[in-house]
Amino acid sequence: MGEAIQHSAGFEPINLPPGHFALDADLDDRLRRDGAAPPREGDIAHPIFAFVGGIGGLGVPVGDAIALAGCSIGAGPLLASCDISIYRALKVGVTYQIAGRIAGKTRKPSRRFGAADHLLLSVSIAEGDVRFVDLDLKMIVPVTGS
Amino acid sequence: MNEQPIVWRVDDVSAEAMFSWVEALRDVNPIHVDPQAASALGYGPRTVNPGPTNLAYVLTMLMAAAPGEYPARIEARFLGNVLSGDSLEVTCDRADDGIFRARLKIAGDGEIVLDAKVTMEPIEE
Repeated sequence: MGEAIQHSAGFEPINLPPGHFALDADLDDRLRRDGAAPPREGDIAHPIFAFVGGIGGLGVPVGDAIALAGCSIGAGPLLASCDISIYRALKVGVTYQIAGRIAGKTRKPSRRFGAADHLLLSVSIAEGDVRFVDLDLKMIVPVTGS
Repeated sequence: MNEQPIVWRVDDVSAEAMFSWVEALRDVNPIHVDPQAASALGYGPRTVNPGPTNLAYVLTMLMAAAPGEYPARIEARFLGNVLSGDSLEVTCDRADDGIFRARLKIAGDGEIVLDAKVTMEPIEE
């Protein structure tokens, strides 16, 4: 825990196109219902939108982002870890701007998959000039055929 | 630790609910929605709950444990898979420094599938 995500040597980070995420009340309601959470009070969104908004609002779908790094979402990638800083509570009824990049890729041996690529993805969520969230996540993508 | 651990349960993780999550995430990873794909990739015959959904359970519990507060920092490790039909147990305790340590476990066998450190602070809008 608390381990900083390291950028990989020998991998040129890939900036993803800017995107946006419309955090509407219906979506917050739906994910609360489907995530065993109580109904919202006021306009503060469930904090999981620090993750869902960042990934769902990337300028390309996460599968395309993975493909840009030379990997395949069809291989069944798994989330390994995330480190999220939330500077302000996210609200429903707001469309946030999303910036993301593939910050690193490292191929490692895997007991389960034979080999796997460890991808590092960095995402920020903002409204105008105000930063709301920084999200770093690591995912493990099996190398097919390994 | 200054308080007794808090325990919260999620019963019978829904395969249908996974569709809502992957739609919001724009995630077409087949292991979340297609049991055959999950099986072919070695996860067995049940679909795999998206990792953010597992984290959402933990955050829901912490919001209940700390009314009026919101996560400011979340460090989470995803250690295992939650499959459709699983029942889960979330436990957490708050250290004297105010940071919560939370674990999501499979009910019954006790396998820890998510371990998180979360700093909760008063909501700033």
